[in-house]
Amino acid sequence: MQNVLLMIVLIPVIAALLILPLKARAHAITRSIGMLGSLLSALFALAAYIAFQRSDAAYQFVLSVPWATINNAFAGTPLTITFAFAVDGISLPLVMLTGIVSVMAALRSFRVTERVKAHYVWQMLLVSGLYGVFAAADLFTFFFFLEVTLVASFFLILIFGQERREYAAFKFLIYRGIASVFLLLGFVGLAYALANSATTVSASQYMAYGPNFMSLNLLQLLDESVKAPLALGAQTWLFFVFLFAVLIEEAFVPFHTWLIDTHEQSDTSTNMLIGGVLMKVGLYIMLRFVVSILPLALAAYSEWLAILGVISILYGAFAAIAARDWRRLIAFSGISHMGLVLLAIGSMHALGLQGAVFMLVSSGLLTALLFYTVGAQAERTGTYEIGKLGGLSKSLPVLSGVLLVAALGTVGLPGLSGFISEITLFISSFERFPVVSTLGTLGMILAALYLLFAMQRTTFGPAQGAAQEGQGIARDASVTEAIPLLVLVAFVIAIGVFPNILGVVVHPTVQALAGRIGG
Amino acid sequence: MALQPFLALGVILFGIGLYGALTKRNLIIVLISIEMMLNASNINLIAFSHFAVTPNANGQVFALFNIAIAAAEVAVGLAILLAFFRLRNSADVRDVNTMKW
Amino acid sequence: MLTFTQVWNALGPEIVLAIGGFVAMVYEFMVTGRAKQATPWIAVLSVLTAIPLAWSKLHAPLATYSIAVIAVDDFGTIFSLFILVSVLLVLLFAIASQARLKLAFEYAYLVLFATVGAMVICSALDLVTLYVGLELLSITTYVLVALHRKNVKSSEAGLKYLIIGSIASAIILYGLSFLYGVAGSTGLSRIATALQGGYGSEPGLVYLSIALILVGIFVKISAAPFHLWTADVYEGAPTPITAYLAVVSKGAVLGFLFRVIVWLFGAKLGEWFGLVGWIAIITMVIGNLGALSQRNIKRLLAYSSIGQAGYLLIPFSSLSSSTLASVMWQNLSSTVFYLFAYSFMTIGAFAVFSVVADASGSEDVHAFTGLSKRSPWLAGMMTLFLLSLSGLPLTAGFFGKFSIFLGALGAGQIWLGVVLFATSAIAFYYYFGIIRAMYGRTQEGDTPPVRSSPMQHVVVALCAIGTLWLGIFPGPVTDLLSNLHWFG
Repeated sequence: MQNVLLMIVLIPVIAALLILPLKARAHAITRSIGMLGSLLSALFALAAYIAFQRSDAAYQFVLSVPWATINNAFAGTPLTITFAFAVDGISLPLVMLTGIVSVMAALRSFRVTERVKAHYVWQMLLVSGLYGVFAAADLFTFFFFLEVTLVASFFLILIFGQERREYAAFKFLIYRGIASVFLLLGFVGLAYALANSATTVSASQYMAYGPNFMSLNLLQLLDESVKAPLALGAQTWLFFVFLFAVLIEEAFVPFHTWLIDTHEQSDTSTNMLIGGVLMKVGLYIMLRFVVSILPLALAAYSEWLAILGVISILYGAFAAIAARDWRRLIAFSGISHMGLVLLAIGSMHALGLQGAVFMLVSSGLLTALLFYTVGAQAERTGTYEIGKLGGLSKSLPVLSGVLLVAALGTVGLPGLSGFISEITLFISSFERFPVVSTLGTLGMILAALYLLFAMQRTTFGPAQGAAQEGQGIARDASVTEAIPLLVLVAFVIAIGVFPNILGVVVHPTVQALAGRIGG
Repeated sequence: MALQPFLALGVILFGIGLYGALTKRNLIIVLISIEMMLNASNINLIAFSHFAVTPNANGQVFALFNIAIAAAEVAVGLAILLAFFRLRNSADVRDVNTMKW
Repeated sequence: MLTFTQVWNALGPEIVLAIGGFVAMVYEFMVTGRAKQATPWIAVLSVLTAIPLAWSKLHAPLATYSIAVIAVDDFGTIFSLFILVSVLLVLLFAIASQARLKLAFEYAYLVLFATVGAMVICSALDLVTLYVGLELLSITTYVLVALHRKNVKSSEAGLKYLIIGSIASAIILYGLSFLYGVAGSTGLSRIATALQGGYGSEPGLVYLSIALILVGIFVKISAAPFHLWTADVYEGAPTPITAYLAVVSKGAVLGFLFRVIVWLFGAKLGEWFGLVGWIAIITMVIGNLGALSQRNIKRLLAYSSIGQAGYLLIPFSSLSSSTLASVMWQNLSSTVFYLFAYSFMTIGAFAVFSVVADASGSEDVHAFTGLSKRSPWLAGMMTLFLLSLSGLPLTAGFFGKFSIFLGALGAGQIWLGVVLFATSAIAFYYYFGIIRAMYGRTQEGDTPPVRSSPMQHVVVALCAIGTLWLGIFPGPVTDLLSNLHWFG
């Protein structure tokens, strides 16, 4: 089991390498290899999920390979960069989420008919990058995989997007490129500051760490940050560097425009991966680095997080009401829900953090589900515009039913995954920020409004416009299409009904994390 | 004689040379101006070599090298100028303008 | 009296190159027709001989091998190795594009002579040697730039380069003359003694001298605001020569900068840090912003190389702002590492560009349109070089920038590091603009197929191997660099 994370990350890359020499016309074999790679990786993720020691809050499946040493990096001591993987109760659910969504996206990509090879190669690289980001236990490893996702998504949008794909791809690249610059700055600053603070403590610590002082290894950094916490000044500027990077990564207001363009222009499987998984990375950074290593700054500025969160919740909700395109609506709804997570992190409470992780997973599944369904509908009706759709419940009953489940899950209907996430998250945030949280709940009420309204326009009522013309040829979901839908729905219901399948993994880690911030 | 007048001469020559090289339109004049800049250094070197605390020949040797190098530079310069002149029928700085963005 | 053995120990690689140059010259005079095509191979052969010779000089004891005018220290040797490797790639590149470019075969020995100059200025210990080396490099490159005598652009570029370069040389020489005046000697170590770790008895003259030398060098490495000549000269020169200017000339003059300034004013560099730091910042910003508006790929790469000069100035300014020896070693290592990375990715990018430009007869970005369909291999390689230039992980460029960043951080100059990465983010835009053309668009009408010779593939592949090797397994190189005794 030691190498399970390495396997998870490497399998998609191997699949991509196998696809590369194939003939451009060999669609069937390309698709099977892509599917097989995704499936195998997801199975390994499942195995890791099962083998994970639930009661243990520490990192597990630790694997560390030294990669390069820069001598004289810090005050005459060398810096060893490692490729390191490990998961804990926060990252493992996200690895699992990546597994589920990537398999569904690979199935969805069966519908791609042009440049199939390129599509699968980049998609496999994107999947590998996403796994790597969540499984990384080293700042360098993390950054490396983040850049892989950047490049792979760029190509997916650029080659397979719609009319304005070039614009969208470049916007994506520049925004996220700038975010990654700040992230790198934060990472090196973090390592540097911790190395600095460690030298000022005691000789015994020097003995404990040996001469290898500056480190990018997350486990070591966490250890150092407990033994020699950073001063508030260092924490504050690092906090703002990270916050700025996260605001862009997560497309929070006012940096949200790139996400809207990306979602409007990308094809369905890319949207599933970007909206379902990649958009969770920023908040994962928040949980992973800011909450655990910069607790003082977090405590000092938690109101900022809450307020920024609520701004995104409300802006996202209102913009979603105004949206006329399903993809736009989903994108804004996603921003709105990610704002909730920021609010929960601001609450600095174990329950809130648990709610945050639940929300990340639940929103990931639901976003992927929504994108899948509207993508399938658009394939039949030729449009994403809410106003042009109508009465699909008669012609496409399965798809419409799934869309209803996804919408209800997002709204937070009890019994589905959204509910449990929102309830835990709001309980803790109300305790700390009653006023701000009240505004936050308003966002959820608005979510019910815009989603159900759009639902109603699309599935019920008279068939009209494009839907009417398409009715003759429209066929409901085929078996290969129905599988991913049912699997995703099954997960959504499972988490909603048995929240403990996620909770037992998340809980100990979150408790330990909350201990650091005094929650 | 003191060192200062020689250095002053050097500065004047260098100044005239730099001014000419940057402002003159005729490429031949530009090349000559560059020569003046080089010769300003030679005057410096020879003056320093004579007025040094322990006078030595290093400066004069350096100056000799410079003269040889300057000759090579001008030879190459004139050759390139000739090639340019054949193509454009001009030796004016303002005609060096094919590439602009 | 010097014996031949002493000279050979100090200048072995240079002697081999000079002899190779003369042999190539005589051979080129004597034969006619197709036999002339062997001339560049003589040059390649002498470079291949010189590389192991230079390698064997690593870790040589300074006192034993050095002669009065040449220091045999690891700083000079590692720069020589960088120059030799780059020259080898440039020569192969020139041979590969010969069929199309029809360069006069003089370039073979001119490149060798220029290389001798480049190597001499990295290890010279005497003002006369330094200046002769610098001029040997400069004058031969003027000729190389203007090698296409029938081409207006080439002649113009040569003329421009000649005028700007000669003015810069004259300014440097004027600065050197004051150093001689203050110290009464042309030997660098004597001058250093006379300056007594400060500015000696005539601080005014020394200030003037440093300022003049710095200005001249900034012109030569095309640091802003002295960069205006760069784009024109790079555009007009034959592409292999452009690669030579961008890589070898720039690297060698950087070696000159380190050698003279660190050797003479090491103790006082802190006072100049602010100036050099600002020049580095301005250069990075102007280079990368200037590249945004370029349509011609050669000009785009020229502006990008201005930006890269800015990155390379960061270690220089950082090493001057701290007195810690370890900071100095780190900054020197990061300079050399980045130079190697820069060499591979730049020459590689120019090599792919020349193939593509030949196929479509245009130097515009549009030449790359739909390249992923016409030649997936070249498109993939170009993507690799561009990713490396923009500094994405697992390429040489990332690791180079990262270690420059660490050096700046170690010296406490975090702002330089911030600007480094911020301007790299700007650079994404134009590098990915080329990638967009290659992958995103398809060309209308009949697409001319991209014809490329095996030799061109060899050059591209060598550069790609270098880029990936330094990016994926930087360990051996960083170990090598950290074990060097830089200045003996």
